[in-house]
Amino acid sequence: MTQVESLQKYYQKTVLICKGTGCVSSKSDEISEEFEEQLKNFNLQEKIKVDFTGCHGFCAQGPIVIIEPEGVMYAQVKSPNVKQIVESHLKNDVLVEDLFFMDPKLNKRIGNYKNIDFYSKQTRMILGNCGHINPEEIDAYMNTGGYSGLRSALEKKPEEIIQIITDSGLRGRGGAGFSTGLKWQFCHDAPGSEKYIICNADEGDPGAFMDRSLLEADPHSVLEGMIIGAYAIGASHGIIYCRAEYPLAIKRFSRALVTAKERGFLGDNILNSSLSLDISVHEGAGAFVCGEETALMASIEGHRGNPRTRPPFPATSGLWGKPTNINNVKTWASASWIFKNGWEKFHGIGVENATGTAIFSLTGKVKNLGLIEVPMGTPLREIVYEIGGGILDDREFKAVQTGGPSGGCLPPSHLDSPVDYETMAASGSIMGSGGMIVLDETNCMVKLAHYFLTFTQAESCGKCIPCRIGTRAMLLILERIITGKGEDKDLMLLEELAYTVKMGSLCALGQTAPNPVLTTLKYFRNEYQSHIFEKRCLAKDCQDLINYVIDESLCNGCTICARNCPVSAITGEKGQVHFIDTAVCVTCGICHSSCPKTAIFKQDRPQKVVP
Amino acid sequence: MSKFEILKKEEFVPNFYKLDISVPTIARKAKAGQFILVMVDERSEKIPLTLIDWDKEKGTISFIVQELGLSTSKMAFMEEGDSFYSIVGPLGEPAYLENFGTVVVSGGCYGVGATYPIAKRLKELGNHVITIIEAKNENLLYYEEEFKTVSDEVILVTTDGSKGERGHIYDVLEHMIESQQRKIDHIKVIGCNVMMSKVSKLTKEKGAIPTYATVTTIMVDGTGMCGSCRLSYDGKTKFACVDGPEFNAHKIDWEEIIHVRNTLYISEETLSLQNFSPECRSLAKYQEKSREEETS
Amino acid sequence: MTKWMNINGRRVVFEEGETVLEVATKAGIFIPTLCARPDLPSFGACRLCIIDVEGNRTYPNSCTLPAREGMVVRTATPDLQTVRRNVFQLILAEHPSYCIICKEHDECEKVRHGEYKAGRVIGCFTCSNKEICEIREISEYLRVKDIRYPMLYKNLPLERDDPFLVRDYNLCILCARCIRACQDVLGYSAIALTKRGHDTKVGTILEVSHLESGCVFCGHCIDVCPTGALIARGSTWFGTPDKSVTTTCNLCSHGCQMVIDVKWDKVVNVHPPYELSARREYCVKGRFCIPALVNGRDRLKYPTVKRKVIKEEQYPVPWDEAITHTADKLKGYKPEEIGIILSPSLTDEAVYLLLKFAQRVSTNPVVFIEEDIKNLQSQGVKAIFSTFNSNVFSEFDGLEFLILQDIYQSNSSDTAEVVLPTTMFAEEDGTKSGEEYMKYAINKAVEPPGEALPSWIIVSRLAQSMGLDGFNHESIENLQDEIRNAEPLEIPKVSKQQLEYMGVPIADKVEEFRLYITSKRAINQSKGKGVLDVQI
Repeated sequence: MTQVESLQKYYQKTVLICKGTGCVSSKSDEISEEFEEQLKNFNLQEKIKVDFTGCHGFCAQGPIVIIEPEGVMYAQVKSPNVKQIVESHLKNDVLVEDLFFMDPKLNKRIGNYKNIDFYSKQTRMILGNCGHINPEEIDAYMNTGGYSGLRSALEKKPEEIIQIITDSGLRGRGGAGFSTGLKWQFCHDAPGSEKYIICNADEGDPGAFMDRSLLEADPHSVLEGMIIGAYAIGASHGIIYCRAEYPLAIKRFSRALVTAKERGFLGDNILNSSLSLDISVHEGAGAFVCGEETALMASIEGHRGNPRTRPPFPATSGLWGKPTNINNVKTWASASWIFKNGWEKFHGIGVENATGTAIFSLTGKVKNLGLIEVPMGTPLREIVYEIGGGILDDREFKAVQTGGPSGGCLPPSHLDSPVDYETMAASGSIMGSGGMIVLDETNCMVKLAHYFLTFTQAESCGKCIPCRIGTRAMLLILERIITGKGEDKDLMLLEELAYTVKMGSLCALGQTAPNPVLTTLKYFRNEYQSHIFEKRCLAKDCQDLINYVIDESLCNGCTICARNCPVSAITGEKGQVHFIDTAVCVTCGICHSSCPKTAIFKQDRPQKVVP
Repeated sequence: MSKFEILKKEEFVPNFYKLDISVPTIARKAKAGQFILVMVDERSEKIPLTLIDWDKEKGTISFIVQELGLSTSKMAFMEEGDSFYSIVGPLGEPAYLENFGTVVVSGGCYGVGATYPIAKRLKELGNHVITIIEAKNENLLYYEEEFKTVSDEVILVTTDGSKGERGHIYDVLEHMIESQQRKIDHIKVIGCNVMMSKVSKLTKEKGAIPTYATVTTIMVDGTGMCGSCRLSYDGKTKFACVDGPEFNAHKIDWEEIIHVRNTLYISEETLSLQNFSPECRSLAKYQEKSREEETS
Repeated sequence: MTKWMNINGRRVVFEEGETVLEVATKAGIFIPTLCARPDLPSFGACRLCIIDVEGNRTYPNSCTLPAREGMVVRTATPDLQTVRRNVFQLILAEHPSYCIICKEHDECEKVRHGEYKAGRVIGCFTCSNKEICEIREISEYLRVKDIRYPMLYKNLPLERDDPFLVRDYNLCILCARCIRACQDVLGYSAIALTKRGHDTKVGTILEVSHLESGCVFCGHCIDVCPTGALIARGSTWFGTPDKSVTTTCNLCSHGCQMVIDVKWDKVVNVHPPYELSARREYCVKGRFCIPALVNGRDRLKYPTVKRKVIKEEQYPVPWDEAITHTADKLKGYKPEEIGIILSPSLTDEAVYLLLKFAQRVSTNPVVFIEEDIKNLQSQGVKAIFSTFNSNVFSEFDGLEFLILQDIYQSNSSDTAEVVLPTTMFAEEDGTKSGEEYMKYAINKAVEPPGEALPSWIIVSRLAQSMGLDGFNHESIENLQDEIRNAEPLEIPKVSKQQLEYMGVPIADKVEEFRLYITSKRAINQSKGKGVLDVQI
């Protein structure tokens, strides 16, 4: 029986308010209170339950409210709207169409989430519960079949469990894509009676929020996977290393630990089996590099988060020198899904050497932004145009950046390539942890490479020389290029440095740091050349290479731009055409985005030509 | 304000400090190319330092100290408000300055500051001044802006090529003389003895351009009595403190200065640092803290 | 069971647990390293020791990779050398390396006689580490003559607020050897890597001074640093020493082996032997204070006798006269009126002869420690031969004749009638009995100042002048033979906490040590700790 069905016995309808971090920041707590208040006002509190869920993944449309059992979804709800929803829909059964989600591609409002392309074109398996159950109620999880996978796993032998995982074809979802079954096998075979499992929840890629969503919306699925894994490997201690910047995820997972223990899913002799397991939560201290497994373990041990060379591998000598198995949040959640629904089902989705689904955070210049789950092998085109709804403002697709700061950019020629580990790697990018940024013609690829390199440079641990100094040297060269001071030999130097950093670095942070630069050099070399030799930014994105100019024929003298200019570079009388003084202008772009007549456009800045 | 008190101290480049001191008597009489002899404390040695700038009205003088031995280390540790034990000057003959025409003024490392008053005076006399300044690396270059106000051209040279030309002063000079075929009437050079000897050799061979170098020798009394600063000049013995410090470079016996004279006291100079320990700042901090705790 | 692996086409044998670097070094194959040292746990930061292992996608560090049976390794492929050269250029890009790439490099070496001796390092010619710099060695091996990457001088301020050490972290390449030595080998953890990424820097907790962070100034970090980032303030700038003499320190009974570097016939530096199994934990005094102590300006050079010339003063006389004067006067005292005071910092030979001498001329027990000097007073002693300087002498009632064998001027010289200059351990040969009956050799490194003589010779001459036989050893070897066949000596143990050498307070003669002690005490006071609780 689903939660919905069980609640229907007592309640006619349920109001599910999203309380993922995104919606909470948009005041969904207040909306929840407002619903309670309004239901009392209309005397409906006996018939209609107010409950909350975790993240739906459609955060740009938040706060999201779903009314079950109809499946009606209201988007961008604000507190004043609540009264209308209660009165119109809940009391009078009249749907509030103005609050429906407006599909930007079809240009019409859609009321039922089952009909929204963004959801219907996904295959939500791992994220199946997200947005539909209360993450803080273990019964809600169990009512959807939760912990049945654990029960069936505990009836098998550890070797059988590892075999099932291997047969399913599950590969690590943290980015490396290593066969999970094989990894569990190594740790299982390692000598020693004291073993650890670790959940890597130190999601550091800028813009990535898959792990956070999962932990906030469905923490038990991760927990169940960890317990199954501990049984397979023979571990008696588990740790989840979650970044401190995710307090809600930590809170929800900690509560899951408590409630799971109450029901006997943790502790000694779990469900009368031989497995005894306890799991603790360890907060990160703000370093991206601690997402790397050896650095993560060093951090737990109290040392500086420096990676170390492997061998020895964590499977044989990891945390405190004991055999340790470390997996990403999504991998553990996949494990529990496999045991609930069967490995054949998992294997049947996706492609030959990449089974199951992939979770991406789709961001950038698409119409529909959010968290998506698609079968492995889905072509990029489908993700961008079907689920994403196409490019914002109907511009041209330029590139898609996958894998975060360790990944690379793929040009339009790759739009039909399937999303799987090997294909991505062959084209110079990586699958990564799931970041996917869509770029259009107004994005400068050189500036993007510079942005990612700034991030990796700041997050480098500083231990090995190629990463610490090499990325900085590359960054200095890139800065020269985007400010118009690029020199002839810069491209050759960049490639040489990129090779040195790639081959010379100690850990994956350094080894993948040059990827954004290398892929943009491969597919968008013309942009680099125009920056260096012509001092022009083809996308008109680099601030030092453009000027903002007011089109006299469109300007109506409303003075909005002049009033908003932070350096007072715009002059003009009210009602008269305005003028930007390029000597004073700092190209911040505020005027450009605030002009109601779109009368301000970008122009190449004439550069002094050095003889 | 006590006599010889440091009014202003500034480290503008690693190891180089500019000090401003009020000594009206010296400020009144100073001329470009002259130097002062400084004693840090009662028992220290006297060292010669070139005068960089002076202000007759305010009565202040400025000089640059490069930290490279015991006495200069002591100076580096002094703060504004501390005083020197004694300053004597202006000593030495002023530099040979006229309207030559086109003059190349070149300075390396310490010499960069020392050539500033010379370039300034030459410009006042109507010369076309070309300044070449050299340093090991761009963060050791200084006075670029100041030189731009007193020269017609400023050329920067660094050993590693981080700014300006790559190489040394003599590379640039050679290029100027040979390939650019520029007419140079006079050359002034100040820097380490090795560099000056190379410049001298170059200008002697290529065009015999009059070159005047300000030599650095050991100096003790500074008034021509002790003989420590002597050098062989044109076969005769001359004293840098009264006959120089600027000499016609082609007539100086450079080998002798570099290999014999300036190496005389290397062991003593090194050993004198053995028991030199400037007041550890940590100690002062704790004594102050414990004094505060006592009074509170 | 022997195991085999393949390095550069050669079959090489190894033992379980060895790293590839260790195996290669034993087999005589050179792999460049900067952060690895056999006596420190491996770290893997410099990435110069990378090797090509068949079957590996990336290049692992040979310093951390355990050797495996059947491994096939190549250490110097063209690609490896290219990566190494590029990585090394990155190191040079952040180190003041202009001298390495200057084309006058070779000529400059001939012409510059000694470096600029102070301030921040702005090139090899101002670096006191130039002779033994590992960066220069590797630049020779890799033949790096140019740096093609943007150069960056970190422009960190010179850290010289602490005594003894000067730290110029603009030179630091973050090999973390100093940290591993401090944390892992010695256990002090006074320094660690701070901050992150490009701002990473070796430092103390919360950037306090080293005096506060738990540093005991043992100097081991200076010994392991490959660059000139860490230097000892008073013992630098001398270049290559003329000779290095291995000897034993005599400041306390520990008997640490040390190497004394001599230049211009003076002690310029003291450091542990480079053999890595030697005891490394020196105390502050042994590590940093010895050159200043030995080379002090007011070392006693000539024997003196108190005489009134214009006023009463210590008047220099030849040795014969001093000895004769002493012997003649001593003969006039009864054995119960004579006292002999021993310094625990004497060599075994001197102690043996003094004990023998004492047996013949005195019935009072020989005094070893300062507290017992007063006992001599109650026993009616009127003449004392002391190898130990003490303030007690000025308050000693009834003392008529004091013979002081000393190394420095002191106020006891006023009380003494005869002052005889003697040598310090760096200036004589001998033996030292250390802890647990170990015997160490003391080897002469420099000539004593003036006419100072080793203590055993002084006692020998004095005894002979007094007509005693058994003191006419021709050489120290003869004396050592005699000692070998005699009873073992009873020499009191001097603790490491002793602040004096033969009665001379080290803090009086070495200014930096005085500053160190007073700073540490001030810090302890401000923290409410015992003032005397200072590790020295």
